[in-house]
Order: sequence, then C-alpha cells, then structure tokens
Amino acid sequence: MTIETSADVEALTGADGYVTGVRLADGRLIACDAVLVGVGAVANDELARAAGLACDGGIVVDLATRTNDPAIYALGDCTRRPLPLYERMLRLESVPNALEQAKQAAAAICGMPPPAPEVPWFWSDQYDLRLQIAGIPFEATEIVLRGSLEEGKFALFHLTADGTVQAVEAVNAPQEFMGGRRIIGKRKRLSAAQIRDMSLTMQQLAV
Amino acid sequence: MPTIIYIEYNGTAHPVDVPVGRSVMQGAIDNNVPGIDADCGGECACATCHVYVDTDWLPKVGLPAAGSQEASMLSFAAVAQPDSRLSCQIEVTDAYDGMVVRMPEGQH
Ligand code: FES
Repeated sequence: MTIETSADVEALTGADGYVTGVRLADGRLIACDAVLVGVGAVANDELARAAGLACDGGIVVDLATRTNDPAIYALGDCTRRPLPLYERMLRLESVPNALEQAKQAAAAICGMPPPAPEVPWFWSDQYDLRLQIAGIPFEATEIVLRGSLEEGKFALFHLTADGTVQAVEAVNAPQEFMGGRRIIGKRKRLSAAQIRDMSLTMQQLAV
Repeated sequence: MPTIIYIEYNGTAHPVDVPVGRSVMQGAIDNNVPGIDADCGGECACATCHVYVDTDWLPKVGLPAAGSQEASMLSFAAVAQPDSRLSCQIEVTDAYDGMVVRMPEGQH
C-alpha cells in the first residue's frame, strides 16, 4: 500500500460505466477497480430545523446535549457542541465524542452530576501504525517532534505562541498520547526543548 | 461457561458467565456491569476498561509485558496499581472460572 500525499486528483478514467483508474495532476495514471471518496460530511439537520431547533451547520446543543427546546436532546456527529477547553462550539465527528455526549445526556436526563469534561480524542489503526490523536490544534503556531520518525514511533505536539499544548498526534506512541491528553486537559505549557527531551518521561512532562 | 466476578468500586459484586474467547471487558459490557466504559471497543486504545485483578488470580492472568501497548496505556490510566490490567486484553479461558476483578473509582 502506498499513501500519496500532496497529490491532486485530476480525473477518474473509466470504461463501460466502470471506473478503471485515477489520473493525478502530475500525469500519473493509477489503475484501479474501485474508488472510495472521502471529502467530509455535512450535518443532516433538516429534521431539527423543521422542528424549529437552533442549527448552525449542526444542531446546536449545550454540555448536557440539550437543544434550545429543553425537551429535545441531540448528540453525535450531527451536533454543534461547546468545547470549553477551546472556548468554542464545534461539530466533532468521532466515536469518543458520541460516547462523551451520551454520558452527558444520560446524566442530565437522570438528574445526576455531569461527567468530567474530556479532551477530544481520535484513533485509528493503519496497518502496523497506531494513530492516536488528543486535542485539536487551534491557534497552534509551532509543531514539535518527540521521538523518531525513522523508528516509526513519535508524536507531534502542537503549541500556541505561549507554549500551551493544544494537540498531540501520536504514532505508535501510546505514552505520548495518554500523557498528551492529560497535558492538554490541564492547559499546561511546555517548551519545545522539554518536549524533545526523551530523558524526561511523559509522566514527568504531564505532572 | 466460566464465571467472572466483577466487583464495583462500591463493593457490589456481579458474577457473570462469560463465554470462552470473549474478553473480560466484553463480559462486563454484554451484561451491563457498571464501571467499565471501554470507549474504544476493545482495541487497547483508550484505557477505560481498567480493572484490578484479584491477588489470587494475578499469577494466572499475568501482567502485560513491559513496553507493550497495554503497559504503556496503563501507566496513564486513572489510578493505576501494580495489579492493573486492561480488561479488553484478557481473553476468558476455562482456567479463569471464578476469577475476581475489581473496578477502579473511575475510568477517566
Ligand atoms: S476497551 Fe479501550 S483499552 Fe480496553
């Protein structure tokens, strides 16, 4: 398997109504039997709008997953929810987000205290690479590498100008992911030198 | 079918029959045992299926290899202890009949 980055698709070629290849802007033609197109998604909020619920590219909800009609809850990819950590509203397409919102909804409906806020996170296995991502790199101005690209075990830390860690993208680096999540949740600042220093454990960095 | 005994943080015990080949995490989820979140569905990516294995059972079940994905995740799990395991990584066998696992105070 090859991953082509910075490649522009110019055209799909076909014969007899079936796709046969993908032509790239650099002239290369990659033969294929099938094409999977992933171009993002638009929230399907027509039903909510028809019901008079506030929508803004997704159904607007609060931290209890309530819409502006207190009798109606909405959760999952189709909602625009508050992210207090980043002081904004966001639509998050991820399983952990749906699970967090499910806990928020259940707590609200049952009159229980709300669950502890979570740092948004994502994960995916791509063959022998485990990708684990904590946080979202809003306003990040610097990317710091910890670990080794050559060994395929590293993490990228996204920092704002004042050194606040906004996101950590970890590849085969579970400690960096778990520690990163904690650091992000604490709004902790780190210097690039600290992050690069492998003699400091993630436990030490996350304190 | 082996019985696994899940003990909640508040002391409530849940004896559950878990088919051989299922994980200890799945046994809890399949039977609505509270206290195990399993946010990643058993892929060793979230550390929210954390349990403490009873001392008597620890030698049988064993600990994750140092440096393994599980050990790395556990080192950051909420309130990890030397007897901590990620329950999605324990596959139930007949030898585990009667095993006791305890849930931590929280999974986050
Ligand atoms: S279910 Fe996520 S680590 Fe076990």
